Amino acid sequence: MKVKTKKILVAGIGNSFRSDDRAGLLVCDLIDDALKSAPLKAVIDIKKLSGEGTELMQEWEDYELVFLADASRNFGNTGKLTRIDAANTPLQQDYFHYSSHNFSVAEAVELSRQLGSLPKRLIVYAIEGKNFAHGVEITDEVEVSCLNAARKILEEITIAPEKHNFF
Amino acid sequence: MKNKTIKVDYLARVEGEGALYLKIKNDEVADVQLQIFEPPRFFEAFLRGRPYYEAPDITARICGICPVAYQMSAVHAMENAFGAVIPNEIRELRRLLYCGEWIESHTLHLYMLHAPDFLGYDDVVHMAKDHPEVVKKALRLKKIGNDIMNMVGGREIHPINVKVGGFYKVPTRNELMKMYDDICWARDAAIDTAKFAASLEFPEFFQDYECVSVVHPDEYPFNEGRIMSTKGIDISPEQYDFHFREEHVEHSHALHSRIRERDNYLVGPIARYNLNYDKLTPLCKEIASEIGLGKEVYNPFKSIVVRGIETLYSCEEALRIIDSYRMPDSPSVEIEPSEATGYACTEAPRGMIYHRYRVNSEGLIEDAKIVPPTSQNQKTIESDLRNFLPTVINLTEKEMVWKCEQAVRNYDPCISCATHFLTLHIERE
Repeated sequence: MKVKTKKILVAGIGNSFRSDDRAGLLVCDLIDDALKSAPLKAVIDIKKLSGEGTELMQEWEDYELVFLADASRNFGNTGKLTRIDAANTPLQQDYFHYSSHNFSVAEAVELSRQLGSLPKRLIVYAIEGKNFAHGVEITDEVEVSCLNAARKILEEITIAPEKHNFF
Repeated sequence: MKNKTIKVDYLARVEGEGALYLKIKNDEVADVQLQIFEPPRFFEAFLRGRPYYEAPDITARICGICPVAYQMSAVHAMENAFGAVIPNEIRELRRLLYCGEWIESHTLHLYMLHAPDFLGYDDVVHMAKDHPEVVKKALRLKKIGNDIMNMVGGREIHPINVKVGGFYKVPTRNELMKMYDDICWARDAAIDTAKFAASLEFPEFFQDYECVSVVHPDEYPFNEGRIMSTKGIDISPEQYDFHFREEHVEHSHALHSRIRERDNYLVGPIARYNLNYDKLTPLCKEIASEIGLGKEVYNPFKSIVVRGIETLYSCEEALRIIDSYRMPDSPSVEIEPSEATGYACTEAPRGMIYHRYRVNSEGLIEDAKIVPPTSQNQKTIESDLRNFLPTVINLTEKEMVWKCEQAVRNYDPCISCATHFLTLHIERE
């Protein structure tokens, strides 16, 4: 049984071999690099996940603050970065790209909400992807958006420990 | 309305992208097509030119839900090619890894994807409003399957600890024992699961399937055995291509499989159960009898009940393996690659998988063939729908679509594996 001692989870969701679908994973790498040996790292877990819904529910259990970064479907504005306060806002089921048997991010959030197991604070950063074909190349606008997502999550993390008395 | 085409553009709660087209003419079924239009994924082509030892990691990527069956099929086929002899301790750990995959995959499908059909909910989120404790129990059960995969496979999705010849690292007895109490809980939860599944309402719908599964003389099949059918096939995996063939049909990017001398066949939980009932544990048989399942099942809607029994089996088998576990002297055996062709059939949660590899003297893969369960079941899914549709033809369009989707989900189809998305089109003329 895993015992979670850290309070903040940054989870990047995606498939590293599906082009823009790896956006969430790239955000994780950027945050990991930026934090390196910073004291903040002591309270943060950074995890790369496939997006399978029950795995997500298992992973965010017991964390007080969770950031999810994931590629969204294309709605005609490639690279658009959307911040969703998922603890207070329902997620659209067809919003995200990845879906395993149609039980992924949105279903995990809504099922957790139904069961009363949603983290107190759950912030989703959705990055509008364009190309989800097999490959490792990422679209320029998506890459820029990943940098912005990482920067914004770091800003939120920086104010979080004081705000939530994590130290 | 005697003639009609109904199109449902997205079938939920299946893995992958496809469509179903149903045409009704003069109140009779004129055409049924399971249209799989997810682009082919070319795994067989990726494998060509790669070293034999990369096959388990590459093939694990075929599916996020049943990666173990893919990678273990590759492992077994390579070991078959090179004549490797695997110690029983490693073999037992492999079966434990399968237990984890069956528990997590069956639980996901049974509770999250299929049960809402029977109970009249759009999805598990809506089901959880009325049945929160059922869903919580399901999540815990699935997690225990994932924990087993983590422990033995290194991670839950696309395990990384499997290699040709064994494992990179094996757990200690103490490490396995840490899961023991949880698996005991899972065994009890699996009994409740089978009873829950059996309490659902099933349509009276029976099909004369030719069931095909791996059969082992001593155990319920996961990873080794002969290929047998309820209509007389009894062959080794090496003979698979002589008896089964794949063919392209215009409406699907996944090849359709059929038995050469006959036609479509069934793989998956029902096929396994019908061919291997005698290999189940006494407790599984007792529970099957208590819930009225019988020794043979020919109603595809009852696949959900069989999944419950197989989940119970997997829990019991996991406990047996941990009880008798002796840590192997070495995590793997040495492999001497040679120019050879290797064959293997194993049982993924949703059915039998066939792998064949031709490897050259340098250990490079020259040719690969992988036949996933969903592609084998495609023709049978179409056949089920052709026969089932007349029984629901007088329902409203919405109800008919619901029932047809449910019939497809009997198979827990993984279209991604077979090539991903199902759209349903029903046409009446």
